[in-house]
Amino acid sequence: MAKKFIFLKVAFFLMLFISFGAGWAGAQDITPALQQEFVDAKAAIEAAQKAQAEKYSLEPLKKAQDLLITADNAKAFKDPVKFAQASRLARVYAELAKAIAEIKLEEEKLAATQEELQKAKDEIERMKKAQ
Amino acid sequence: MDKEIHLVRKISFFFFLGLIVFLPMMVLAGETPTMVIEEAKFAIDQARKAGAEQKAYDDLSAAKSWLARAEKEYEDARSFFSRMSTSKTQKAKDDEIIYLASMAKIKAIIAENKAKKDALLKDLQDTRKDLADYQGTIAVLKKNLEEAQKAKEIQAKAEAERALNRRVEVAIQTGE
Repeated sequence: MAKKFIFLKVAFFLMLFISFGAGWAGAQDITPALQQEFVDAKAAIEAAQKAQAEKYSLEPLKKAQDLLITADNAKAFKDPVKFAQASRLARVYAELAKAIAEIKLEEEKLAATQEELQKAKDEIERMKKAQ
Repeated sequence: MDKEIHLVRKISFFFFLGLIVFLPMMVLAGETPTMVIEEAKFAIDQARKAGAEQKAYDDLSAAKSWLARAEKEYEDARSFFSRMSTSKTQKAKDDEIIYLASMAKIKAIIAENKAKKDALLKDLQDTRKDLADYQGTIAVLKKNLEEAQKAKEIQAKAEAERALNRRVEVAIQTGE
């Protein structure tokens, strides 16, 4: 009976130790490397804003900003997995916003140049007739 | 006839019942790992078609790598032991797969955009070159027109002088 009791006690403490261990592993701190991912995401959002993403690609930019807030919340809850995922997603969404903004800017430039080209062609036609 | 109408009504009733029961569940399901993986595959395919293999190789490679990780996680999640795990663990696994596949999808869209931008820049360069050529032609034509105008003016002046001379000669001859 006493042996059985000791065995139960050991089993109980073992369970307690495992659950504490698991809890400790789950509540790991945000490492400097993960913190860097967050900083990179912030920088990517700033770069997208500089590329006029607010004008040309608001949706992915907004998504990136929302994800940055999610990452910040995950940091407050000491959730490194969520923090890393949200930071990385924020960075790629910001990169996407920048890429779309850049392409739209070039499209505008192309449209303006094509319009100018058409005007030049019309001018040549007019001059040829005048000669 | 009545029997047929009854049957149609019965089928319609069950169809709408099914719609009412399953539609909210389908809507609630939202993003699933399979769905996001398929979207990522499609995005990679689109990027390839846009020429990302040559023009945005790094981004396309990153997209493929994220997709490979997502598919591996998906396979692991569908193994016998994973299916024995708690629903919380399975949810965490699904979230991880969705995250990996989303990274693949976005990277592929970035690659596609970069490839398209490259083609667009080439177009812009060609159009600018054409414009410069046409502007050169305009300058030459303008110069020709101006010269023609000057020649016309000189000719008109000479004719006027000749006419005056003729009148003077006539006046001298007639003694007026």
